[in-house]
Amino acid sequence: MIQLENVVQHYGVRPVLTGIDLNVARGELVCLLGPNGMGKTTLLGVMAGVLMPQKGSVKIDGMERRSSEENELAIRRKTVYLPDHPWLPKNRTGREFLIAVGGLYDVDPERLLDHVERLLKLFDLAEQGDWPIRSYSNGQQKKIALCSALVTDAPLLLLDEPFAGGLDPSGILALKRVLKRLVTDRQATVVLSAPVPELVEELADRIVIVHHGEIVGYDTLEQLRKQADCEGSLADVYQKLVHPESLDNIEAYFGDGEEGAA
Amino acid sequence: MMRRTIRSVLRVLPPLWTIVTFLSCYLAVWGLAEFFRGVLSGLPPHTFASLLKPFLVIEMGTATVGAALFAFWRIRSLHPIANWEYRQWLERTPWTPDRPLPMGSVLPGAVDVAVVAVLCWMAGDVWWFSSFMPLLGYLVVLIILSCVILGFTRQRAVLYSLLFALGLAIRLAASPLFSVLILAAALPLVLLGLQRSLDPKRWPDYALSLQKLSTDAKPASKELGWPFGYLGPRPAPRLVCWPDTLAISLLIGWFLHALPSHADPREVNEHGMVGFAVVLAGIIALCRVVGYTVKHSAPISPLGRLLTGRWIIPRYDRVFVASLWAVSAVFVAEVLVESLAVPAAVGQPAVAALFAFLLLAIGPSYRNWQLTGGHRINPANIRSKAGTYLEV
Repeated sequence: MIQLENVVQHYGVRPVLTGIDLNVARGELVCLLGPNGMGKTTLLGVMAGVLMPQKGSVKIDGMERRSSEENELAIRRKTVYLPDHPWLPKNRTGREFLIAVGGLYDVDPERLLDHVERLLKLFDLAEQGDWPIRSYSNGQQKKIALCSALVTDAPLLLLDEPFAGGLDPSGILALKRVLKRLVTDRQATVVLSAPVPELVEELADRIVIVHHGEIVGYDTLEQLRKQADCEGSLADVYQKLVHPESLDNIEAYFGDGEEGAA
Repeated sequence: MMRRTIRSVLRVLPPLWTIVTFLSCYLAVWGLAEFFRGVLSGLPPHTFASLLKPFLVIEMGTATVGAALFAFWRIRSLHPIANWEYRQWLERTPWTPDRPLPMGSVLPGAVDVAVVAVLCWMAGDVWWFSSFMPLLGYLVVLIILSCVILGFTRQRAVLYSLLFALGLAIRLAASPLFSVLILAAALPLVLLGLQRSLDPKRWPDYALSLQKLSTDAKPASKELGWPFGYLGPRPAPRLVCWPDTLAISLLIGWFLHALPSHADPREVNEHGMVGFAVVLAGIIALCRVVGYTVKHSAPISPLGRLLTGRWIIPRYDRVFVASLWAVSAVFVAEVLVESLAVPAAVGQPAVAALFAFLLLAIGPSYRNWQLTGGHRINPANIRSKAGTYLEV
């Protein structure tokens, strides 16, 4: 579904992505994990067509991004990207906005109205659906943004930090289950970034660990455990692959403290 | 029968309060003119005429503005493309284009003839052509608004023909009678275009403003903010094809030939146009570049380009090519026009037409740029609409 070959991206002099090769199959849920500022958003942006990499190619369903008008339009029809900070029309109601986004993706009007209704109910926005978006709380704005990505019925979802932005526990649970069902029932492909390993652990089919613009690990949790030679949780595996020194630092901190106290 | 005729006349007339307001204004102007006519009647004829003239000009102007506003009202209120609420309502009724519009015909007819005739009579006779002026005002506004409608309904041949006629009318404006005759001769085209524009299949399938969002109107995608407005599957439509490019360029040249034809020849400086033309062309070309790049930035910063040795990024830098070619062509053409002593009335419009042609014909089109350009979409610049959007 998604193929990245030798992708290099830099905005100035410092490289943000260096020689990224990545394959995501149809019907897979892949999570990008990594420290802040290490290239997760840039990697998603390259897949979403926000950026044009300086080197390498990005292919979706075998079509290269921005290679021709027809290919790019075909890719856009089957892809939806939700950045971590989307801009919503603040004077429109949530329902109007969702209907408009569904219309943009040519969703059948009858199905669209029904889908909007179900999404609003799922994310506890049934009552607020007819309020202007400016009156929503931060969490409700995040929910309506997530609904806008889901209402498109696109088979490829690229979501940047979908669990951040004030989402409440029921919203997080709803989103996790919806994404899981989309992947298993409809063979949708989901690539998302998340800063918290615990969220990713139960959700992802495969995990990409990005560090300093490179992929330091890309596999299932089991395989990553073998790679890191660590039997613990994803958080432990992540620490071992990205910050191998941080566990020792913690030990050293308490060791020093105990010696001092003694 | 009588009642039906009266009803059909009333339907295409503006609301009563606008008619009363207009008549009050006109009567005030007319009363003032008549008052001064009485007061000044004892003066010598020459002084009398010069003192009274401003009032008579205002009287004629009022009638002309009235005719222009009537034409504006006819199209704005009665054409479904110009009146969104009307269109929405109409689409829910069994109306078809072969039946009369329920709120009254948008095509000029007997009522228009009667209204404009009355206004022509009201315009007075300060000059021999005074009584034509309301007709001229009516026709100009009607044709301009029809052109807008024709643009939306993609009737390009009729649109360009009408614009050519408008240019010809401007060219001959020194003799208002000729202008009126030319515009009147273009009326069959207006009728044809407006009649065709009533076919709902030709109507644009998107709402012109976000306020119009509904299930049966697709919004222009740029109104949906970030990311849908810029990464959604509906980029800018393909606006101009080759015949359009040629027609638009020729029309620009034609209007530039027609408009200054009324200038005093003594005030036209045929020399020293090179600098002015190149600067003007440069400003327009720069506007094009800014329009393309404001939301689609370069993939690397200028410093990054220098330090990484990527001085030219072909898939991004192609956005500058049309502007550079067009400005260079203006420079060369202006030098030729000046050295060959081509009259300004011919040379300058030709240069402008060439400039417009190059700017439009050399790619990329905005749509192509959006979809295949080697740029980085810059959502930060959507903040210019921060009054409309909310960052989550």
